[in-house]
Amino acid sequence: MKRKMIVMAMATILMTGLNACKTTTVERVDTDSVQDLSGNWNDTDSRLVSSRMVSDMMSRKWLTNYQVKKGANPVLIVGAVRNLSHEHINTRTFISDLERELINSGEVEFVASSKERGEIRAERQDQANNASMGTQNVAGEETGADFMLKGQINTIFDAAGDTQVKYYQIDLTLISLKDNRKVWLGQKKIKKVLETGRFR
Amino acid sequence: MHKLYTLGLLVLFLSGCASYSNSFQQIESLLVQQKPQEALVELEKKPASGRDRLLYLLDKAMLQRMSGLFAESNTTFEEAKKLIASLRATSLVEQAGAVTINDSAMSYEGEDFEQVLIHVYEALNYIALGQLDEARVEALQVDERLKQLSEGEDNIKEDAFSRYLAGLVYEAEHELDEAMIAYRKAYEAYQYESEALPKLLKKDLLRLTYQLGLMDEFVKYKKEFDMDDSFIEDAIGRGEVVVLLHAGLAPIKRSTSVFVNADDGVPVRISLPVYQSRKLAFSSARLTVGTTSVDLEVADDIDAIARASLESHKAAMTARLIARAIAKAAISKQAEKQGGEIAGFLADVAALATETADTRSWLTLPKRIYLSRLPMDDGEYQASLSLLGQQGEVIQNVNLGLITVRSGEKTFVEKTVVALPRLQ
Repeated sequence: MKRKMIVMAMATILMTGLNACKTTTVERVDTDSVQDLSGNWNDTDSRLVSSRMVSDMMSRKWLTNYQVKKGANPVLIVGAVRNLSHEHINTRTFISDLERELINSGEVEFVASSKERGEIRAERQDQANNASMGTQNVAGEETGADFMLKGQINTIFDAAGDTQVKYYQIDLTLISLKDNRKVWLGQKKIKKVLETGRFR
Repeated sequence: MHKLYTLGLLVLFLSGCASYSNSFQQIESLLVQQKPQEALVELEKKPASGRDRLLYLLDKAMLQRMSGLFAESNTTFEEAKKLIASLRATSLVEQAGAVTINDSAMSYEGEDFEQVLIHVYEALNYIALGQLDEARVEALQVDERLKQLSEGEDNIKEDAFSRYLAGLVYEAEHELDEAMIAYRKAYEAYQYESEALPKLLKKDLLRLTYQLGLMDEFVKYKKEFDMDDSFIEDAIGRGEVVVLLHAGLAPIKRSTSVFVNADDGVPVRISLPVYQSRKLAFSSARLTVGTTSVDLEVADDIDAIARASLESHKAAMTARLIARAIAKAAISKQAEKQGGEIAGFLADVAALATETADTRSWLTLPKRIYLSRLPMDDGEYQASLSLLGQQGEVIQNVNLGLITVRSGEKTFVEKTVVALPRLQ
């Protein structure tokens, strides 16, 4: 009995000792590396989905049709991407990922969103009052967008025992502002299987 | 002589290990004085990191939202959710502690109803922030959580208010079909919890079945509720004021000792937690918007749900406690045999001193959530709440300020009244 007690005491000391030497370690990793921690929507998903969907969008007919007909690149604006999923997804990073992919493709022109426009207009107003004539940008010369990109993120979630299946579906729609025509529909699906441990 | 010693030592030990619910007094008194910010400062002085971490997070999130820090509150709730997910896996070390010492040796994982209420309050925070899509995420999560819970054997199967709130969120998002499903589930859940069906829900069921053209169901509800349906046309398309009143504080767990007979007829002493309700200084409330008045209804009786939840665990808990008492007795017998009388005596003292009930619970929850919905025309209105006594006399008026109503939209107003505000 005595020996058992000593063993237990030593085990306790050992365990508290181990807890105490947990220190913070920092390791820098490439932002392109895949790191799945909780199985939730993360930066990798946002990046992969935006780049795949934009490259799909750029390879479809609506683009060449427009370019041939108008002799210029179409002008786009990104509208709302609604999060209708089970998770609190930061749609702003997803939208900026989309914008970056679109602009860098060089095939489309891009205009500022309605929120950004307000700030630009205020600046232009300020220029009209304070900037020298040669450097002023006058109002009324904004480029109107031809298409608006809208989207939503949906999830289906299933769990049994220690296994969970997460299914994400991201739908993007490109709508012509002139006549409400939908010129492109994109869809990307992600499926993740999670196994959770029984003991900690 | 022996007995006297034991008693003295016992008192010494007991005062040393004050249970969780006792340490809450200061925060509670600040809440009663309507000073949630100061209560938050007080709580943050002693951040818990170990087994009571979840309780600390829950109380912190609640005090943050009472102080109007809704975004911060949600960050804290998210941390709590992550913690719960990680605690779902069993810890062998803690289990061993719970078998030999007491239940407080286990990390607090939250009662089922408490876990559901995390989603409820997070959704309300998002509503307060004007982020309905994010509140909708919580509505989906609560559905998922309840699905998981209902698969467990001694878990709760439904939670009425969270279903009802989900319906409200869907309605605010103009998703009537989703709202209908949520209200149907709320209807079933109120029956499961054997709580009275709020009149509000009856009206919603009638209105939505009518709006969605589910005429068979409409007729069924109309017959069952025996209600006049003239309110429907009055409500459709108009704006609506939704008022939630979080009243009082949830019941507090106390430890009681009882002697029960083990299988071999030997009486053993075990400590069980029992809930002690906290008083509410008013018995009903009335909302006045402009010139229209309506009574609030109890939408969530947390006090009753907490009691029912404890009652449902009681059998399993008692069995576990008896097993532990027997194990402790065996240890002291062993100690006496091998280490003499003093060792046996010491083991006895240790066994008794460590035998306290697990009195941990989320204490900053309200006792009840009252709800009212009032269709209104476009415009700005002065709104106030009247807190009423037992005879319906006005005890206190609470000003809700100026409310803007826009047609087809919902205006949410929340108020927390822990105790009656003192008249100056």
